[in-house]
Amino acid sequence: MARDLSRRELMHSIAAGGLVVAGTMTPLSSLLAYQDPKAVRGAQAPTAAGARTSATVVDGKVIQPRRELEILRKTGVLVVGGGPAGTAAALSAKRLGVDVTLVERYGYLGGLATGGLVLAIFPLYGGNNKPVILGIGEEFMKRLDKLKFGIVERNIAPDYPTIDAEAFKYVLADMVLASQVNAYLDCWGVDAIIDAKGSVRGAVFESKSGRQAILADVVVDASGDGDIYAAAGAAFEKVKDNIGLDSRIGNIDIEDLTGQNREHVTGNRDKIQGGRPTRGTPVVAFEGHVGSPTPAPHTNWINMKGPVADGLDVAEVSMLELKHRRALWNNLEKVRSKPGAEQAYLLETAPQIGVRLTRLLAGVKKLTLQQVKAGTKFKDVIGYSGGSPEFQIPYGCLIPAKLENLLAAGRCISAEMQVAETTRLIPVCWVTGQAAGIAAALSIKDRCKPRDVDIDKLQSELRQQGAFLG
Amino acid sequence: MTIWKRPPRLYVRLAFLAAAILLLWSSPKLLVQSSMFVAICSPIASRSISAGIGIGLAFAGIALLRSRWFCRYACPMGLLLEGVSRIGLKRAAWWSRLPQLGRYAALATITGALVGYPVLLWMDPLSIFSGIFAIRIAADLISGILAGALILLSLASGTVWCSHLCPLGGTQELISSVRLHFQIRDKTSPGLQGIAGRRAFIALATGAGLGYWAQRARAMQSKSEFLRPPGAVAERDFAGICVRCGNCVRACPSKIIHPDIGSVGLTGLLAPVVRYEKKYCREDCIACTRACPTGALQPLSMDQKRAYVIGEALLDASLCLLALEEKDCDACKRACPYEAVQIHWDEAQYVAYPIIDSHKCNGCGACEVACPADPIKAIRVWRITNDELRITNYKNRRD
Ligand SMILES: Cc1cc2nc3c(=O)[nH]c(=O)nc-3n(C[C@H](O)[C@H](O)[C@H](O)COP(=O)(O)OP(=O)(O)OC[C@H]3O[C@@H](n4cnc5c(N)ncnc54)[C@H](O)[C@@H]3O)c2cc1C
Repeated sequence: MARDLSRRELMHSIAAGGLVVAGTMTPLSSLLAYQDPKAVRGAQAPTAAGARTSATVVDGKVIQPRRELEILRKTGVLVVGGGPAGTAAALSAKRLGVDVTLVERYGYLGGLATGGLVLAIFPLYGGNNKPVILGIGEEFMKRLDKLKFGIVERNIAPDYPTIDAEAFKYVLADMVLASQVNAYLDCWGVDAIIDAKGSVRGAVFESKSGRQAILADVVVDASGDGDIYAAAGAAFEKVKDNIGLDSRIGNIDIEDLTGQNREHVTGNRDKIQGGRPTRGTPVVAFEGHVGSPTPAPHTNWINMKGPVADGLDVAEVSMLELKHRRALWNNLEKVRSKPGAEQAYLLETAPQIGVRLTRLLAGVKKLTLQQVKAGTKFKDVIGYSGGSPEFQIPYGCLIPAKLENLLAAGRCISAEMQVAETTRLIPVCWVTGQAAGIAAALSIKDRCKPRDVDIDKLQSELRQQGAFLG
Repeated sequence: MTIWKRPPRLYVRLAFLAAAILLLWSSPKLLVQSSMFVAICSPIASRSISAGIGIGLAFAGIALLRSRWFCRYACPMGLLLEGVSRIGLKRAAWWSRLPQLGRYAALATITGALVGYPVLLWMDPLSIFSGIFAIRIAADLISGILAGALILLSLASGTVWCSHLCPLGGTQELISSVRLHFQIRDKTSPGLQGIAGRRAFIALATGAGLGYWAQRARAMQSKSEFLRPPGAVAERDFAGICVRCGNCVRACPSKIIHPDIGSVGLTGLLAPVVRYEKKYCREDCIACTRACPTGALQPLSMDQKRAYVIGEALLDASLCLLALEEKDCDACKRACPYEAVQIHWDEAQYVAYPIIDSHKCNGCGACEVACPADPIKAIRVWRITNDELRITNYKNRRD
């Protein structure tokens, strides 16, 4: 990936990082993980000389022999997952000057917001349409603002913005490259590393380089599914939610797709009757969904809720991947029968299936619906979620009840299911990601456990980075 | 009346005015209930009794001894109109030869109440006075429309309302004529014979006839779309028992209750309807049901209120952003305080949409307010025409 950087992009990333010091350029090697001398590179052979480490069948059971793992890197803050929460965490932690490593299983950053084609950034505003999501999320959107076709419907509450997935992938790649965060992509986190006391010391990854370890002072689990805290033995609640697959459809001319015209007319909307509907199941024959406009011209975004299923069950997820893609093509055929949409085509189905909620951490605090409705104020507030009304999120929701040296961020934090249906949304993941990143960095600087981080310091650093704490 | 006597009466009147305004803020329902016209008619019409009418009946007792004492000393509307009528305009006293219509209005209303529909109860001056204070937002200017009409009338024609038209004044005359009938000493007084006769007969017949007609007419209005506040009695009785005092409009913290013009027809004019624009009917509020002086809105407990069906939420999936796959929207589900909305995955159509559990939904409108579909909301609360269905539900929770 990094090898393909154009000269211009390279210069840009270096300049943005402010790395030109007294006429000497900081060596590129310190910027890019793959050139880092500390990094272990290439496919790794099993170490214990000659020892076979393949799994074997013993008495009908498959056994994986013990083996020593290559250490890919030693780092300060290890962020697992490069979605909205993970990217926010890694970039914010880095700003405190600690060593940060970001690992993502797919080949791009942004998680569901890019690869899942979840393009609607919601909820950004509080009860009175006041913006409550600032901080790094606002920085991302400002970057998108500068790009042609990057983002539309900005700052017109209660409407919320729609972004372009490729523009956002670019913004994140650019910011990570400029930040000196060490990033590993195409690299799955498969296990936690814990010490004798049960505290987290890093995580194990699987990539084309093989199975390798990253040792870290603190781990931020931003995998969305709590993969690392589950592996480390933290308590959590397992839930099921709707699993869909978003897509984009191109070359539709029945709408104003510039994003400028907000009074757009969509698919079935022209059949508005306004009469009294029947009770029970709606009697509508859907004639092909065209979705809603995106920043890109002639391109619409189609959201899919999907059925409730287990996002941690590979068989279930695989079946949905196949059925959803088949359904999206069938939908396209219907769309093409609409006047003006004959030339429509399926631009892309999301590379990443739309899993909403799977694991919810059992944290020091669990944010409850009652607290949200009561507008509870927390001493350890780390930010707000939008909504009417907006509500506070406490730091305790990011800290496992027992496990040390790990923080959760994003959709897998500690909240009741009904609350998690809001805290899982992209802007809120930015908020919890930024807070987790800063808290992890502070715990390294102050040599304390994440749960003992000085709340005043955390809040003042959050404010310094532009976050809204009320 | 000599000049030195005047100030004391004025003081008494001002004291009563102050008391009236105090009541408006502390217990608005008592103000209306202190009208003996309301205190007599609304229990008959609604077939239910509230302790507050004691005040009205006490004033009726005074009327038995001194007719029009209430008018002279206590009535805030009278004070207001008298003040207005002093503004120097040249007035025609065209009305001086008119019969005292107020007592026939009262008579017609009482007979109407017996039939079940107190036809002219909305003319009660204390209710009209209350209505002025329901003007809070521009849309509710009409709450004061009756008061406005009376003020204009007083500007143009002096005190015609108080002396000839007011049914509360008329009620007092009816009451005192009962006394005069038995007071042998005063032989010059006509007593009950004074009001018995052709006019009284017409009033009785009109009251009964109109009451019967109005109820029929209201039953036929079942097709139009409107919602009544929680606690509303059956629609065929509602607009009759309601005195348009505006108490419920004023009591509602969500400002969703409005005096109606047009959607319920002539007989429902100015009676309260619920509209969900910015707010919904909160699950933790029973304010309007407690503010009603006549029982048009029955006083409900919190549990009864939650079970009282204002209407039913129905979904038009052809407008729903989730069903159209335009947005990952579940605003209605999130908003519903009764967990009556679920997102349903329709495998056959390969699409999701909200479904509403009609057993849990009480038509509070939270979903309608939350629905972002524009310009027509996909989920809206519709009227339930079957009053039995609407009302029995909460009555089961009486205990
Ligand atoms: C269909 C759908 C519609 C939605 N609609 C909206 C909407 O309209 N508005 C809105 O704001 N939100 C919406 N959401 C929610 C939102 O997109 C996600 O909840 C949000 O992106 C979560 O961010 P996250 O960083 O916590 O997790 P994710 O976005 O899931 O990111 C997690 C990242 O970690 C990576 N990862 C996971 N496991 C591992 C591992 N073991 N090792 C290494 N990397 C790993 C993943 O590849 C991913 O990049 C929607 C979600 C779905 C599915």
